[in-house]
Amino acid sequence: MTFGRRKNTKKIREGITNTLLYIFLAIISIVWVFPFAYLIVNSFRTESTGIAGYFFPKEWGLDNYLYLFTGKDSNFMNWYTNTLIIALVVSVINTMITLLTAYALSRMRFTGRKALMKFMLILGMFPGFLGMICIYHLLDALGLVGNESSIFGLMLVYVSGTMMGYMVTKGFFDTIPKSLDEAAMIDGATKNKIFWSITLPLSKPIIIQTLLGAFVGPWGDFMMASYLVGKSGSQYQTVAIGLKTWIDSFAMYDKHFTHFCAGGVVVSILPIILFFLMQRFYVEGVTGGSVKG
Amino acid sequence: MRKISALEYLAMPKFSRFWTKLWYSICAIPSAIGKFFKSIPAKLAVLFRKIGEWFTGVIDAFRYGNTATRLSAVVWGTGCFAYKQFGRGFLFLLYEIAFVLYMVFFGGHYISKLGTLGTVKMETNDYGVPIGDYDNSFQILLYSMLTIVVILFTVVMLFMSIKQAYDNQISYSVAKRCATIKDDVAQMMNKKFHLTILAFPSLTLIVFTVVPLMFMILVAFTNFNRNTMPPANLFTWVGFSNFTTMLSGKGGTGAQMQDAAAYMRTFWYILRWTLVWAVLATVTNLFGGMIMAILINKKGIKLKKLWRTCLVTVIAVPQFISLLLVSKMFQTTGGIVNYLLKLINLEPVKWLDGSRTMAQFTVVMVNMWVGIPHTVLTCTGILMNIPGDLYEAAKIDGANPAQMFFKITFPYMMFVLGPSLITTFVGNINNFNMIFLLTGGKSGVSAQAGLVSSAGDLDLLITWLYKMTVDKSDYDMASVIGILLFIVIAFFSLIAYSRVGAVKNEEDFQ
Repeated sequence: MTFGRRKNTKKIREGITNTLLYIFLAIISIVWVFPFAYLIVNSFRTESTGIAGYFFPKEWGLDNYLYLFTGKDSNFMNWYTNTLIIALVVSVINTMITLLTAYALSRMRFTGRKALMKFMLILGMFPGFLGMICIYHLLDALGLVGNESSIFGLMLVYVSGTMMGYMVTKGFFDTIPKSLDEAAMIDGATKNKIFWSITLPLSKPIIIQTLLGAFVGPWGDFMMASYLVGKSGSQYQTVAIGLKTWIDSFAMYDKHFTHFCAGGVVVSILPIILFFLMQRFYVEGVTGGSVKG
Repeated sequence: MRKISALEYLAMPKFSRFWTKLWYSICAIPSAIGKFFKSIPAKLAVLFRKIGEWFTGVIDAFRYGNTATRLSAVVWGTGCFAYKQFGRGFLFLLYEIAFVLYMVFFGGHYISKLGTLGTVKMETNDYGVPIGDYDNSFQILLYSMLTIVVILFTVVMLFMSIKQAYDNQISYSVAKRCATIKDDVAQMMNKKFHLTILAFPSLTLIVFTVVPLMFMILVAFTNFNRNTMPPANLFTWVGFSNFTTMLSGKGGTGAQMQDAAAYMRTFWYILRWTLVWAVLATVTNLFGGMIMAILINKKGIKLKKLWRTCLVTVIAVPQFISLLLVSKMFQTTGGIVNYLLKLINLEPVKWLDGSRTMAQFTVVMVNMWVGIPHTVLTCTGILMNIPGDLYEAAKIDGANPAQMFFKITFPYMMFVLGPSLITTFVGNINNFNMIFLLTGGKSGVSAQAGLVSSAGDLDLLITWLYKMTVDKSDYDMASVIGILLFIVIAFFSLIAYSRVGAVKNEEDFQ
């Protein structure tokens, strides 16, 4: 009898903690999602284009999206295509570079390997922006600043330091048993062949993680891009720079805040889709990489 | 503090054991750094010995080599032509010719002026068109760096040319044949595959990362700023005076003379906030994320995936959008946060444009909003890896949930997350987006702090570096900040790497 009652009180106590927890989690979730709800709701607000001191729009419509794509003084389409081209090209090149560098450093033993790794480690401790002053003038000399070809300049900037980001991928390659390589080598496979037909097929999670990272990096980069294209013509800019100009000063965000929100929604769609499609690999990669370091 | 014995340690209450341990690990940091510096001579010795071995190889080639081998030090590729390696010999010769042409027509001109960075100032006629030849300090410094890299590479190539010739000589005397082009290509795909795949990445790394960094490090020793902007003006070497200005407020050149003291004050002010910020950001994210992960993964909580997805959305949305949006949400007038406060009858708060403390609080809160989901993702993985029998054993021994958390979950998480903490810390020191996009580096009372070179009272070193470059063109001081930032980051990274042996035992996994 007493036993049953004790069990009952325990159940009740657990029920209360769980209810409290659910309330807490619900509040947390609302806090975390609220800004995005605000973004989406504002992108459909049509009664004014400035900031409104209330949540729900008085009038709903698609005007802001129409402005993005057809507005007379909107360069959004240019920004979007620029960014898309840059991110696509950079993600493919960077993934190749990262995989190859990691393979060379993980699987091959050559003189200067350790020295190279230490050198890159030290190089990576310098703030990346420091070199930009010089790179700006270098690219200017090559004619890659402030005109149609400035997207090539940006691509070069994003590609240049990639080699230093080999660490996580190398950590992954290190866990692939070396006996596989040896077996293939006995069968007469070259290092080149081993890379393409043994290492790569076993590295799907890390390839996808690298691709995603290399795509999202240029997509959301502000610092590098703002120095290279921040002062050039609006049509040569990327989404990060362009959208920021819309809410920089009071005069601008009073006119363009809802446009910024619509632009933000359009720009976020692609990374969100990619992220949730590949989240499975992402989690695997993160834990895999961090533990095996 | 004196060293305590193991027995004394065990006799301590558990709480003070933890602090003793923490205190000892902090105490160990100086000695770890000392060890690192002590090991530098030994490491240098190894380096020099290796270079020495390399030289002896070349000297041997000279001593025992035939005429063709010796001649290939002057006319590269002779040693290859002599053994019918025409392709390789041709490449060597071509490189030598290209190098000579480069030095004569381009590099030599610039490197000869490296000592002064140019002496002939540009003069213009009445229409603003330059007259005659003039020096451009910027180009001189930049192309000198490029030329130094080229010369270093050429020395390596020269040694390779001699060694190749000697190898050919030996392999011919032994096997009566030398490697053909076909063999070479096969080697590039097999034993020398690393050369093939590292060539292009290394080239971009050198041209777009190493050379610019060498350039900017040297700029810290010049007076290259908005007053000496080439091509209209010349800049020159000033030694360590930029560093003494920044660190001790003395000296300085030209325009900076009068605000040397202000530079020093600004630097220490910003450095202090950078470190405080990095600690706050790291600690809040770590504990916030841990707690959140444990709550979501608690047994009996349903809809785990939903809660996680809500949090993780922040990671998927590009930071410049979410941060710019949040900066507008926290506006004093018209911001949605103050509107919500008004709904529950509270006064509007000046979140970002009021006092410095309030702005710092807001930034740390927003940083939690961005950072906690990252920690939750990692922690979820760790939580799933904790062996369940640990908890069962604890339950049998009568442990309550709090005890289980502090004895099992927390130590286990810290064990896995610990090494990455310093990486996160360093990442926060360099967290440009959070400060710049959210606050622009300024709170409402920024002007009262009396900072120079467009620094604001919320700026981190990295955002100050950015502003100096973009707004003020203070390149010399920006480079000094860059180097000091490097020193700060190297200091913390050194601790991280001395504690984690991952680099050392990489062979263990294979």
